[in-house]
Amino acid sequence: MLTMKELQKMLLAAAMELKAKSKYFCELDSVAGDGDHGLTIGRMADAIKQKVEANDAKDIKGLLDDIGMLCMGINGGSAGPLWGTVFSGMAEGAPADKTEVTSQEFCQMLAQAKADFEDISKAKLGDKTMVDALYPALMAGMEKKGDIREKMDAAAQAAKDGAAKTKEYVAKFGRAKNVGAVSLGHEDPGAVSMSVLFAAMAQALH
Amino acid sequence: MKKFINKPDDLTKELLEGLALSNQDIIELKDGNLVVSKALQKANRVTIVTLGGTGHEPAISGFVGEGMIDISVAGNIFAAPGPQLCVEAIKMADKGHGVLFVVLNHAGDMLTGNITMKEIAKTGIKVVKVVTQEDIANAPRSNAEDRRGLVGCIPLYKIAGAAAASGKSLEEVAAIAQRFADNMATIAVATVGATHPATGMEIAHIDEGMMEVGMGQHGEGGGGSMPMKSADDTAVLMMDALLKDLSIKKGEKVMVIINGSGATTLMEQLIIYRKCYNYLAEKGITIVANRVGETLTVQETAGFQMFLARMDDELTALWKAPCHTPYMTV
Repeated sequence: MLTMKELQKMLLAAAMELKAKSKYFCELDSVAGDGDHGLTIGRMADAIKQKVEANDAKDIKGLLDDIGMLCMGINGGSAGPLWGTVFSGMAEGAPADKTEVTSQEFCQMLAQAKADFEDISKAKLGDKTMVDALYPALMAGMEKKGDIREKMDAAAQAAKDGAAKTKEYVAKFGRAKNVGAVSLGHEDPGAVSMSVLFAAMAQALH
Repeated sequence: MKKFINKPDDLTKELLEGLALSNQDIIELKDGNLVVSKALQKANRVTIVTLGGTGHEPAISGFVGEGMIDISVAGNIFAAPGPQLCVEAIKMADKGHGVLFVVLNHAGDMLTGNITMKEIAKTGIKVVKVVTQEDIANAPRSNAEDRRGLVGCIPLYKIAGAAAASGKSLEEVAAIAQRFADNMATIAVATVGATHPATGMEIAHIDEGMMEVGMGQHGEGGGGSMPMKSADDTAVLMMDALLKDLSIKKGEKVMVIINGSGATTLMEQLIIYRKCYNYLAEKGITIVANRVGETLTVQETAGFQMFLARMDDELTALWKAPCHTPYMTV
């Protein structure tokens, strides 16, 4: 089971970790982008922290949906709508009026997040985007047999591995695709920040 | 970085305030990031809504006003705004005749644009989306999906705005806008990269003595690095590429825009335009519409975008129709 309290703990941990690394994300983004990825992530981290601390969501579905909306409205280029879709997707897959979800229900949340994301993004594995961390994370989380903590650990590991692999890819999306080989040898900032999200959330359950 | 700014977090808020305060008879700010034409209130026609990151002043919000854009949804520096604001803008702009929603082809803008269209479909408001993607540098015409939207959106707003002002239906306005969008091309050159005002970091680096042809408008490259050329040689290089892309023939009429990127002097832009004019005249091509000067900048990037569009009598008349915005008045 995953309780509302545990989810809040995960989100807060993620917010803190993402905020702490925002300068690093900017540096990663300045290789092949315009160096502002960390600013957007920082603003989303602030929004997530504020929302969780307000403790005004009536159920898990509501909390994730509100966070999804907050991310969508962050006005920071692609990251806002993309992260927003991940959280909104999880909300859509969650049962209503529940302050705890089962392992099975958690899988449904991950599945819906992936489906919603595929709906709005044409990025595939290997295109050097956040998808290289996100999809492996969601799939590992769904496939891992065990409780939610084990699922999150598997997801975090898959996200980390996926982000590391982006070093070898040449960007096909976003601004980085215009500079071609310049991005080779560097991890994609979107994949890295996504892996930090999963790592922090998984760690919070320990 | 030596820029006159206050706190980086307040950049967009402060620049939009400055724009609104200096043009109180033309525009007003709503919900912080919506730049709304004061002419919208009395409008009874198709209306024009667009979105885009700030940092490109005077674009995009400097072109909100009668005869051009009705609402510009402003994002943070170089970053597209989110879909909720766009949905709100479209609802605000709709006067019962539908809305033309202009989206530039950049990752964030397109994502927001697509999510916005999905949300708007639930409301029943008639919206037609037109995408601008005219940068010839990073993809061939056959792969338009990959082409970035550069300065071409600005003349498109003018033409669409004039069509809307003349009382045309949404279908007609959209068709005209699409026709213009399908017949335009831009290529950029840069010699010195700029810095991102919020981070202070360099957004592009071009080596001493070199110029980058095909530079995007956020510092992303286009792959054409070469030694610096003279104004005339550069103009010919760029114009040849544009003419080829659009297959402009002798006897045709065109629009030419020389759009300074922020640090290139008007002096240089005028010298370039003169060469374009003479070069086209030699080829029997007539310029019927033009604009020289900073239109859509990239902070203090040194360089410019050269824009070319195929014109006909209808488009020319629309370009010449009256408009009143902070940075363009006809």
